[in-house]
Amino acid sequence: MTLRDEYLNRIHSEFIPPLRTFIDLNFSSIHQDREDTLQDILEKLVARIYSYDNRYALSTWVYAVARNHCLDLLRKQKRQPSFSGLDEGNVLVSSETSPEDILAENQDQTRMRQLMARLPREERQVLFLKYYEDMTFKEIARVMSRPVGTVKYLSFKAKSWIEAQWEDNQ
Amino acid sequence: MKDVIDKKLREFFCEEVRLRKEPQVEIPAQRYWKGGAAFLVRLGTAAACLGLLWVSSWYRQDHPLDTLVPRQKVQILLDDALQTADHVVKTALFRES
Repeated sequence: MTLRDEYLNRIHSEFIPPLRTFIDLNFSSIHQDREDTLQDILEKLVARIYSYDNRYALSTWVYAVARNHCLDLLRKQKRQPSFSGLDEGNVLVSSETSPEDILAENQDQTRMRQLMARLPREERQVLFLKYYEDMTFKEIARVMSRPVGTVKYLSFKAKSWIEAQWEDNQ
Repeated sequence: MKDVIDKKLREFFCEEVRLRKEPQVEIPAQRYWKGGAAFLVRLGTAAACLGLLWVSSWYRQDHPLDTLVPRQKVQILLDDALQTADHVVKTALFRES
């Protein structure tokens, strides 16, 4: 098995559900179907696998490609306005989520989802990469093409706001 | 409280990812294989068409009659038939006389 195949296998086995979540949480205003967006991202990853620099974590590169692809889609969308457009972050519930799943979820999940929907997109991205992917601030900065200081500030701001809201609701 | 929020955030994201585990998507490499096979079929069909065109043009060069339209072909055949009939009749008459 070549190194390229190994990376592709890892992408397929480890990153598909997290990428779905990343798209849903941060780019819900994309009009294109989420699974189509995911397929396009995966095709980009396959086509550009040789551009991956293995000095960095695979996740850093995967999320950077996904993020740039979604931002490109949003830019294209702005040029071609549609009537079905949703405001940023309004919808966080996955189209794949069944009513049974929603009922089974605990209250905390629902509350956190509501809070996430009110956060700016960049702050949501930072939180996802930090708390789901366990990335360092340096890695997050690489994914988002932002200075490390900005990423730290976004993380601090988002977490402080969630903390305050959580305490208020207790 | 900070630790509680950290824990809640981790649980929240893990649960969101868990909810999106199905359905499985196709490996793009497999799609590329399918796309590659379809491309080869198209390439083969195009090559076969070009080959047929080349063979037919080569055949026409060596067989100029085939460049005629069917009406002209029928006319030539009729002329040949009439000439033959004329020849047969004249020969017969010549013999009788």
